[in-house]
Amino acid sequence: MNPAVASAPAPAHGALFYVAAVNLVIWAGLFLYLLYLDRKVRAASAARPDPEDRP
Amino acid sequence: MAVIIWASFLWARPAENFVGESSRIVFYHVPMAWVATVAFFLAAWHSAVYLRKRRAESDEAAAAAARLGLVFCVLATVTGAIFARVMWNAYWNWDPRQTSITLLLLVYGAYLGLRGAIEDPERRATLSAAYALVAFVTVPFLMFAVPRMYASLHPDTVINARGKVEMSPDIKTVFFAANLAFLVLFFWLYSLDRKVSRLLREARP
Repeated sequence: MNPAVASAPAPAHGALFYVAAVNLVIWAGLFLYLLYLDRKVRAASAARPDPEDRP
Repeated sequence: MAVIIWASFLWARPAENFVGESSRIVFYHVPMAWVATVAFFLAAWHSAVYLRKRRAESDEAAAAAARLGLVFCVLATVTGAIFARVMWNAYWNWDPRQTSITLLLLVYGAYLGLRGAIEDPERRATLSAAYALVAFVTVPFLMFAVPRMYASLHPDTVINARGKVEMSPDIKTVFFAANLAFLVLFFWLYSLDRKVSRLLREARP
């Protein structure tokens, strides 16, 4: 373990803040993945030929 | 999922031998790693199917599984680092678990890099399928073997060395429910990704 890091103050509370942070990280990560999927859907819609253009 | 979050904060009691309420992180961190393992298995499975049948859907399924597996693997790493900060007072200390998950991230990051580097769809699918099969060989080793071979600060595995799951009933209920809930969420995202990939393929000339 890095001694410089180990000397940082330990959490002096019930650590619930960290549990909330874990939740936030997970939901933010999954939300970003949904945004990525949304971008792919837009790309698919843009690449699809417009039905009105078809003969 | 809302019930799982409620139960994880308010119903399950904090476990012994953890700092404060930090044992609640386990309800989120472990499912991330578990789902990532399932996703990497799916990627290998669909890659093997692709190499046998040469169907574009199998390649898309493998790519979607590897992408999502990587997302869950990153989340397992970050949530593990937060857990490490509470328990060991440092976000990162190159514990065997942290080292092996970093290697796994690199292995699957390289898979996506490989896919991005090849233009020709058939060549990309063949090479990445072969790579995904080789990459999956490292998963049991890095996820299960390495952390058990070296002394680690990481808490005992869910099924411990005595072959038992030693958790109080309330913790066990929330823990397994969370694993199941995140697995269902993964399969939902996975099916969405596959549908979108199919749409993209059909839309391209």
